Amino acid sequence: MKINSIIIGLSVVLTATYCGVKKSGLETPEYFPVPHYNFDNNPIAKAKISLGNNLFYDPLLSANNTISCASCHSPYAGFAHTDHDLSHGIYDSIGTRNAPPLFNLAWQDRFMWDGAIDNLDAQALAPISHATEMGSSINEVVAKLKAHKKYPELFQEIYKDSLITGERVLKVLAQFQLSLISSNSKYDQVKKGAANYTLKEISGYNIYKSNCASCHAEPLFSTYGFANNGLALDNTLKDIGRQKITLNSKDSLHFKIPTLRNLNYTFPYMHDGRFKTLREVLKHYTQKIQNSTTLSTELKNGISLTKKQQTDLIAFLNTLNDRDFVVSQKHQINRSFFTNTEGN
Amino acid sequence: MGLKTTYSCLCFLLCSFAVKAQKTTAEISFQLLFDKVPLELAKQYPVSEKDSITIDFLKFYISDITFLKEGTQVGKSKEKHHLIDAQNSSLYKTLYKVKNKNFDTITFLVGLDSKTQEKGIQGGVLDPTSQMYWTWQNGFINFKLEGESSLCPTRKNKFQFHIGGFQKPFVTSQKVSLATSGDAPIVIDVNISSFFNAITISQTNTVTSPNKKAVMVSKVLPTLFSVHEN
Repeated sequence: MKINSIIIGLSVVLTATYCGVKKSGLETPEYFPVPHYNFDNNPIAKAKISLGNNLFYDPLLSANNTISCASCHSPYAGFAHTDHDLSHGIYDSIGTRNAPPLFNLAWQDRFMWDGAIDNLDAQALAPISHATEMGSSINEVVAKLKAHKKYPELFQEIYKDSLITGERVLKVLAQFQLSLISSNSKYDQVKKGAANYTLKEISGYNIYKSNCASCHAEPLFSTYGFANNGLALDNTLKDIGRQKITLNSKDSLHFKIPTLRNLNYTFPYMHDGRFKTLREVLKHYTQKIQNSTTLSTELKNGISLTKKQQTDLIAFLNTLNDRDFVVSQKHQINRSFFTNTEGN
Repeated sequence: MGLKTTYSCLCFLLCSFAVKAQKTTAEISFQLLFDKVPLELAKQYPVSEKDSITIDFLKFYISDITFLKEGTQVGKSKEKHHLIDAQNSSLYKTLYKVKNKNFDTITFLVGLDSKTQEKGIQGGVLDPTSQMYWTWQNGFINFKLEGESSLCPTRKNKFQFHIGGFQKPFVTSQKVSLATSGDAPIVIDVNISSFFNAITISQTNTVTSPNKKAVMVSKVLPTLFSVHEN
């Protein structure tokens, strides 16, 4: 009797755990925390991810059909914009910030470097509408999709009616972005017991744990909170960060804490892309932190690292690069969709 | 089945029928006005000998229209959210269900409640193509009014009020409570000229983000609404 109850109890727990993992419809490692994204509002479906993928790579989203989401969020760059400090947009315009990488978004509660948007579904409205990004509007996008040769059919297949709405466009775009999960780096392999760190990497891991982990916490390698990491204000941009949104001086120079995953692909670094290499980043943290009232308390005394410690730390950071993720075919452009659609 | 059970069932059926019979569906309208006449977009309204006001765009949300009798809810509108758009018509009609026509107060929210705001992208009147969801930040605009006036020392004399914000300290949805005799059909007047009586647009003419000014402007909005006197 007792054993029976235990077995029943255990199966209930196991089923619940299984459902918890499966609830999102996305494959995630068990050591990832519970996602922040509310999947009940936008249940994951393969067909929606695929439609979102097409929209993500489609320059139709911009006013003159030249700029797609992927223009600034390239899969090979961990869905960031390699080599451009500030993002490039429509009509050769240049924005004011460095396009952040897109992956593990379901675990993030605020988007944009200043956290202006707390809802992934709504995020795409910003680049679609911004004059120096895509220069269009959701109304224009919906109108173009309605007149397109292929899209109405895809919406019909998914929603069982031909209605194309702003809500549907934004939610399928969110689905594709939610499907961008990076969890197969060497760090992940070690977590899963499928690889071992080198001595150098172990040393780097320990340096990371005592100097970086409070803001760049495992396993996502960011708390995704906001902090002032002591960068000097760029006088050409005068970007005060989160204060612009909250209008609270305590948030002056606060920017979203980026993840340390995939740094190999997502350079340059910081909100304005001012550092091209990890060495420059470490030089900042060890020598160039600007003190101010809003400086993160963790950095008040600076970070002290020898050259060897920096080398070890970089060795560990390199274990966070997920090559499978950046080359994965499932996140790439669906070429067959884009053939024979010219003129739309 | 015993006699008692049959009797109980009958009573239950009769009661539910009686309750159902009391509920009626009626119409409530919102009438957009400028100085007591129906609002027309792109029309120049003189406000003094030399100055005038033109409205190009007016859209706002009304939520949770509720009917009360001595403080107790006796009815509500069928839809939770309403988007009133001057482009469509100066008269917005919607249906409500009420237990009986005997109510003394109508309450509603100008704007959207925080729960709706937090839910983000949604469909119907909340679809982002309604041009009421901010693109550069979070949240819906509750009340959007744009136009020109010679009183505005701005580029092309434009004024722009995108009144929104749902997170403290900049909460901009405002509750309206109107006393009424409860005679259907109810018509609520929305007098846009009252907005310009309360806001000095030579000074306050561009409010497009959640901030102190937005909260200040939002507090004026309830004064635009009154029950139409026949």
